[in-house]
Order: sequence, then structure tokens, then C-alpha cells
Amino acid sequence: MSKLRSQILIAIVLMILGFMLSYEYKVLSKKYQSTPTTDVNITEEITQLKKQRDEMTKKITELQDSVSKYETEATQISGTSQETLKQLNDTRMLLGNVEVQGQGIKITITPKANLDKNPVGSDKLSDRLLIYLINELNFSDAEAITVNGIRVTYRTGIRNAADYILVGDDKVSPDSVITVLAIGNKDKLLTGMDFQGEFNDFKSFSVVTYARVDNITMQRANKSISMQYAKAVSK
Amino acid sequence: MIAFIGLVLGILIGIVWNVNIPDKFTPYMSVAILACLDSVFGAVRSLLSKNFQPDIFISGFFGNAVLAAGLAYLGDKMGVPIYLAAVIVFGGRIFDNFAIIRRLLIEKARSL
Repeated sequence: MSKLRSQILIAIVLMILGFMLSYEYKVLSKKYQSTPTTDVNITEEITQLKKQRDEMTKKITELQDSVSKYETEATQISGTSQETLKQLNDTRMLLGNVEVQGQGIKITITPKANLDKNPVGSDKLSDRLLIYLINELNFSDAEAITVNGIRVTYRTGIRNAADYILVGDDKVSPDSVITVLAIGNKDKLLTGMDFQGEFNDFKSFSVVTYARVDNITMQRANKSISMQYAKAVSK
Repeated sequence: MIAFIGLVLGILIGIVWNVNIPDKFTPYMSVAILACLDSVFGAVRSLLSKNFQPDIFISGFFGNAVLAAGLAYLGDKMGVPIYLAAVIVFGGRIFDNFAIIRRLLIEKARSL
């Protein structure tokens, strides 16, 4: 190999090395710059998002108020549409789109770990048990249900997600106290809960208490429901 | 001198040119760089010992880099951190070569 040729080859090889070194340096420094996920940043982001959510909720309430105003005005102009408005309000109530209040029962599921009692095994409240409880309440003619203040509608999905239970889009921790409220005939609901063996599956990890409540107020569901695929059958 | 120019040129290309090498190859590249550095240190050492052979340097440079990156990849697939073997071996050799280079330079300086 001639001297010049070998020097050029060495230069090319070192050029590759230089490129690799500077490229790696560039990639790694970019990576460190693009990870500002410190606790402070996350907390700030959460605060901002909460603020945005509050503002949006306020706006939605204002819009709903104006919609109801228009509806009332419309019914005053045309008396025949009063029945339609009543039907609309009933439908909204069924869909969980309005704040409701009434008598019912309050069920509290307290994990035994929270009561400082030794829980049997590592069982926790699961999505299935929560669904079971909601089903039992529905069977006892519950008209509106909330889990930790989250409104459960006919479109609310419940499932486990890592260490949490998702109720719709909201998280519920099975390690903390869970409060289930149901509006309906309080005696009928209580009888349903008194049924023997109703809470057998809950006993290993929690203490379940329930009582009649005379006046429960429930927030509206925070998710708007729309149908994209289902269409009414035209006759 | 030409070698030094090549190195500087390579660094400049790396800084200026926006090449997109997929992120998944970044860990293998680090191990490959270590292997390349080992070859460079070996070359400097042999240059000072006056037994430098360009073909051996070039084949070692690419061969070691490919082997190290390949081992790291294989380790990743098998769930065994084989890249550690490359890091230990090449890291150790770099230090050994550096020690020899240092001694050769000191001896050279003493003989002046």
C-alpha cells in the first residue's frame, strides 16, 4: 500500500470516527434537553389543566343555561312544544346529562388495609366487583348512580387499568375508600343490598357499609354522548 | 496531518449534517464507538512503536466496531447484557494502550 493511499484511508477512517462521535454527542444532548419531566413541571401542568377544566366547565354551564332559556322561550311561543321539551328533559335525565337529586342509598367500601386490619391475601376491589355492585343497584331500580362522584351512565365503561379502576375516563383507586351513591326508592335499594351474600366477595379485602340517604345530589356526566355508527331505522 | 484533517472534517459533518439514524441503533453505536476508539489507541501505540500497519488498523477499526455492535444487538435479543463484555474488554484495552503510549512518549522525551 503506497504511503499516500494509506494516509487517505486513515483519514477516511478517522473521519468516520469523528462523525460517529459528534453525531452520538448531538443525539444524546438532544435527548437530555427534551426530557423536562420534573415533578415541578408536572405539578404546574396539572394545575394549568385543572384551571382549563374549570374554565371549560363554567363555559359549558353558561351555554347550557342559555340553551334552556331558548327552549323555555320557544315553548312559550308555541304551546304545543311543551310536551316535546318535557320529553327532552326526561331523555337528558336518563342519559345523565343533568344534575339530579333525590332519595337513595350510600354504599361505602373501605379497604381493610385502611382500617389497619390484616387483609386476607392481596385482594383488592376489581372492575368486575364494581360492575356487579352497579348491576345489583340497577336491579333494585336505581335511577342514577355515581362512583366517587363520577356519574355512571348506560355508556360508562368500567375496567381495571394498572393499579386503578377506570370509570369512564376517570380513575378510582381500589386502595382508598370508594363511595357509591344511588338515587331511587331507598327502601327497595336497601332491600336489594340486604340480600344474603350480597357482599360476600367483598369481605376478604374490605368492609362494606350502606345506609339510606334522604337527599342525594349528583353531578351531571362529564362526557357528551353521541352516536356515530348507530342510526335510527327508517320505516 | 491528513488523518487529523479527516477527524476534524468528520466531526464537522456530524455537527452540521442532520442524518437521521433510528433511535434504536443509538446504544449499538456507543459500543461501536468504543471499539473504534480502541483501534485508534492501538494505532497510536503501534505508530509510536514503529510497527504501524494501515491495513491492520483499518480492518481492526471496522471489524471491532461491527463485532461490538453485533454482540450488543445479539445480547439485546437474548436478554443478556453482552455489550458489557465489549465495554469491559475495549475499555481495558484502551487503558492498557494509553499506559503504553504514555511510557513510549516519556521514554522518547527522556532520550531527547
